[in-house]
Amino acid sequence: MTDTTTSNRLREEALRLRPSAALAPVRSAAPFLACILLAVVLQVWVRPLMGDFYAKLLLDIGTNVILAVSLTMVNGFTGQFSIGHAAFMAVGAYTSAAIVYYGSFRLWGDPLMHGGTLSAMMHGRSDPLLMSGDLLFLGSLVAGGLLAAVCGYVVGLPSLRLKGDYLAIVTLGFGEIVRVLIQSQTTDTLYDPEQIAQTPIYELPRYLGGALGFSGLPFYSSLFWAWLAAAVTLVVAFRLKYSTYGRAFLSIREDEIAAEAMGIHTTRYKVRAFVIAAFFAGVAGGIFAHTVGVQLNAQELGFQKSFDILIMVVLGGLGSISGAAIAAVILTILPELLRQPPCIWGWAMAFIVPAAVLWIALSRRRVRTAVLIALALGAWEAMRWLARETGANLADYRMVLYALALIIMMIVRPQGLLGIREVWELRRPRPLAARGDRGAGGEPGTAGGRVSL
Amino acid sequence: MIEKCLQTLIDALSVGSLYALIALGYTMVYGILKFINFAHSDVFVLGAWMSFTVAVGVGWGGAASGSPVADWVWILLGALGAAGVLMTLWERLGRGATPEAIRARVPATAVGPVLLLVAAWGAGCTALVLLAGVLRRTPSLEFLGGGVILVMAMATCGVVGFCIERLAYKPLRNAPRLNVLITAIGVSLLLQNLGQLNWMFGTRPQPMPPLVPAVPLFEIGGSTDAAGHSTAGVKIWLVDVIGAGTAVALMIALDWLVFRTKLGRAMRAVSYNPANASLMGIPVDRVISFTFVLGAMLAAAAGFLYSQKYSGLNQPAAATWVLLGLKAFVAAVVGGIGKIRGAMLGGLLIGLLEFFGAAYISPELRDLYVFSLLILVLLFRPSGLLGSTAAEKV
Amino acid sequence: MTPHAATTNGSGAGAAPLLLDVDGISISFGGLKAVSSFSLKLPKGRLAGLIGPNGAGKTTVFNLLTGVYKSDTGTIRLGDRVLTGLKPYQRAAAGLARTFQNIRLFPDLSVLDNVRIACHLRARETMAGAIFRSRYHTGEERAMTTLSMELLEIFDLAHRCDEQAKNLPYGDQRRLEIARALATSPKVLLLDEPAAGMNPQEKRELRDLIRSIRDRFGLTILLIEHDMGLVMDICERITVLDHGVIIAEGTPGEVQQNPRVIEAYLGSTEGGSPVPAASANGEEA
Repeated sequence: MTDTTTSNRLREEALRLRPSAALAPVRSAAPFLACILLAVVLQVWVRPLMGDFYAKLLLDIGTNVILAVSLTMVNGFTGQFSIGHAAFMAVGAYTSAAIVYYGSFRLWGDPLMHGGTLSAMMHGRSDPLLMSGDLLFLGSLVAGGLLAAVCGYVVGLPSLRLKGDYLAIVTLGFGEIVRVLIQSQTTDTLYDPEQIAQTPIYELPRYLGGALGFSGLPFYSSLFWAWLAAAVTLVVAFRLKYSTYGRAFLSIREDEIAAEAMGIHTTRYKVRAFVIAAFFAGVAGGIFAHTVGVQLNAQELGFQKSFDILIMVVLGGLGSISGAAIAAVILTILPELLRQPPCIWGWAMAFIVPAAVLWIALSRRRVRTAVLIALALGAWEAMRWLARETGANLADYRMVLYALALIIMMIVRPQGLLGIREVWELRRPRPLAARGDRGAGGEPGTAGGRVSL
Repeated sequence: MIEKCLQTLIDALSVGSLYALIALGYTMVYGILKFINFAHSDVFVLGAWMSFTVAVGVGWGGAASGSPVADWVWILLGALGAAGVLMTLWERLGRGATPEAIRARVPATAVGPVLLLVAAWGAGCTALVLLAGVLRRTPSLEFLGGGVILVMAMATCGVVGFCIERLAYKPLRNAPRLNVLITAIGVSLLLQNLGQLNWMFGTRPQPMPPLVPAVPLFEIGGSTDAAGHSTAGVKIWLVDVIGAGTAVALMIALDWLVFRTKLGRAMRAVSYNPANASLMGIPVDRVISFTFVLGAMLAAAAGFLYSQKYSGLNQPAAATWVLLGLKAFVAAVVGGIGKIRGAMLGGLLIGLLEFFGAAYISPELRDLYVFSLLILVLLFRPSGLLGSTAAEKV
Repeated sequence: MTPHAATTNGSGAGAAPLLLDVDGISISFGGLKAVSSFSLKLPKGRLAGLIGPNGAGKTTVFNLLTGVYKSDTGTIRLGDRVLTGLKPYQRAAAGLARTFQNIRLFPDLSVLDNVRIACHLRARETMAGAIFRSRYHTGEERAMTTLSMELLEIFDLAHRCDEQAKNLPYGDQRRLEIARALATSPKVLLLDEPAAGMNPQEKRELRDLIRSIRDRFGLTILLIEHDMGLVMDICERITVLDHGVIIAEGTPGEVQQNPRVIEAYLGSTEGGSPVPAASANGEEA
């Protein structure tokens, strides 16, 4: 079996086993159409049902899902240690903000919203679905992502050749550099249409608000855009993981030397993962910049934000897409919960305890998990009581709790919530492609369902 | 022209020696455990804030009246000591009773060092309170009190470093590198955010009471012309001299310790091969703990000296501290991570680069110079100036 | 120490064309010369062995051949491609595959995935294809799965294809490593102590397996082993290494009688060969 015959054989088999020409485009595009559908449903039907507070929370969740899933592509899939992810977010945010703000001036002479329903978080449904402002916003998101990807390439190429610790420092340093560079710019933002029309385009990026932040941005971000981006990120991450590329990434994480011996150009794949992750972080940044109530300031996009994202990824499980997403949801909601910690005794008594008893009855092995959950609930109640007695505000302790959770998690359960597996793989790990992609002569699947996205 | 150069040089050397002190902690831990202790710069911050707390609490430097050190500081140390005692008891008593798996995870603690440091702390406080009365009449000798504060800050951070190692890093001795790095980040976040709480150091910047009189030791090149106008020369402040002097003294002491004593030989042996070292009868755990304590103490000293030079202390989680820690880490890498003399050299180099760059190119981009140097070094000579490359055995 | 006089061109004849041509490679670690002036000529289809006492530098030679270490001197050629200076993944692409002394599987991934990763080398997929699930991509994924399963069938691991590699029994892990190396469709296969830790029955099966894959896939195999029975049994030619230097080279019979080999293993030149002839129980020397 020489290399040419295998390559030929692979190609022949590939041509023989591929799906029909009619079916293939459907299979390819279907998930993306589903993303659009989901986003539309959220914006047009779900949004009017909820108040502004919950809508913003849902939007934040969407943004954090993008950030967590993109970081897991680097830290989880390839096992590298990048802790400056918020830098790419900042690059994307400022790029997108500059394009929308100054573009708005150039096109319409004012920095107001010119978007349609899909961009309207606060307004009603009187506008048409998609308007030119929406397209400007979409373009700015893509541009922000692309510029962030370029930065990812520039930073990743030299540093990904080195051992894990160095990459961590370089990414942290890069994050700080971006922040410092942005904050050292002039604090002026131009707001006179005449002036803006006359300033040449390459001069405009100097006026980003510097240390005072970039204010006056139109609030284009809506549930539609945030969750469209989040869903697309999830689809791309999933498709990458369950493909030969994903396997190559994971092999680098598992054993880099063995991966190289099997012919994988480890540095190239590490850089690719880094660049894709940076792209999505840039998009998330763009969405963040145009969210209601956000004053874009590089100060907030420093290492604290990077660590926030890192904690989501680590607690969810390095390498698990669903883990990162779930952790993003939980850790976005948690600060709100900590502000007003809800009482869970009622819920516990009514639902959780009977369910737990039933669960334990079904399997002796689960006792330990059940005990842990009971301890966690008890700890929550104790914390609530303590906070009430001492008059302390739990929200102040948020980062302390996160840090403790991180340390304890690393000692007790280093693989995080889900480890490398996805939520639907909790029984047994699946091979990383659908059972249905078994050509001729495959065995019927053992565990796991048939998923072929 | 020359004055500016000289002034920059003095500043650079003064701050560079502080970088060197912090870099020593990074490099020692890396040499022994082969990982980067992200929490190290937070120990530096803790040292600065601790010295502030003690100084203000005792009423030093002309601040508020000489009230004894705040109660909570005693409580904190008592808690740490109690934790140490509990751990030891658990391990001793639980030997037969607890399952192997749990025991393997509970770190063994030696009560001795903790109690010793607590005692040193207590002695220091007492000494300060006594000294306060005596020395207040001779303000120019107040910096002797500063010496006591320095020792107390070092002791406190030594205890903290010890606890961090025992509680957070020891259980992960055999874990994959990534896990230890994440834990280090967790510890760093913990220290930062604990420090920010209202009942600890708070979130507002505080001014550090100056313990060293703001008096120039030398003045070079100043002159007074006939009309009585004087042009300022280059001032070498007492603060700088004491700061750099203390730093250099500590570095010399460390160098002597590591290269000329039995303990230092044990440290070096553990850094080459822990398994073999333990076979030779070296108490590896204790050596590792000692290394952490040593590094933490140096960082605390650097923190105190830094607070004397730049007296506005920012909140513990401020970006300025993070940047300082990063620059010290760059110093360790540039000099050759794992090499003690490399860290000293690296610290001075980084100081020179930063200050000359700030003076002659642009002060806003001072951090950029340092990180550019990092990238260059990592690209072309990752093992650093004094480091050596070693092939990994496959 | 000079190499044994019986190094003509090491191939025993100029009959078959040289596939692997190693000429004078060496490496030093610090002051220690781990391998000095190692040369080896393997014609196509040869099953050769590399033996020597512990610490002789055998795995170091493998690391030099595969590019993990950079050789200080000499050249390595595979067919008409020059491998000197190439990185490990480039040498794998050229057709040089290996297994590891201390089994380096991808522990958390399934058995099937371990093999499929090795197929990546010969695949033509693009990242865009993966993200948009192009026709070719899906077809190639299926093809990779088919080919991998075929390979696993040969190694009798197909029934375990979904298990995590770290959960396999030791013997299966070793076989999986060989299967994975084969999935890169190599021309030359380097096996580092494939029989370590196996019982005699497993060793017999391994012996048959190695022979059969050599014939079936047209491979050239170089084998490091401590089990003399296995080596003498299947290797056509053997190179003996001691302290990084070749001390003997030839057929199994020649090597067994060589006094320098006996001395290296036993430390004396007394009569009697400590290196047993091919024996059924396959005990280590």
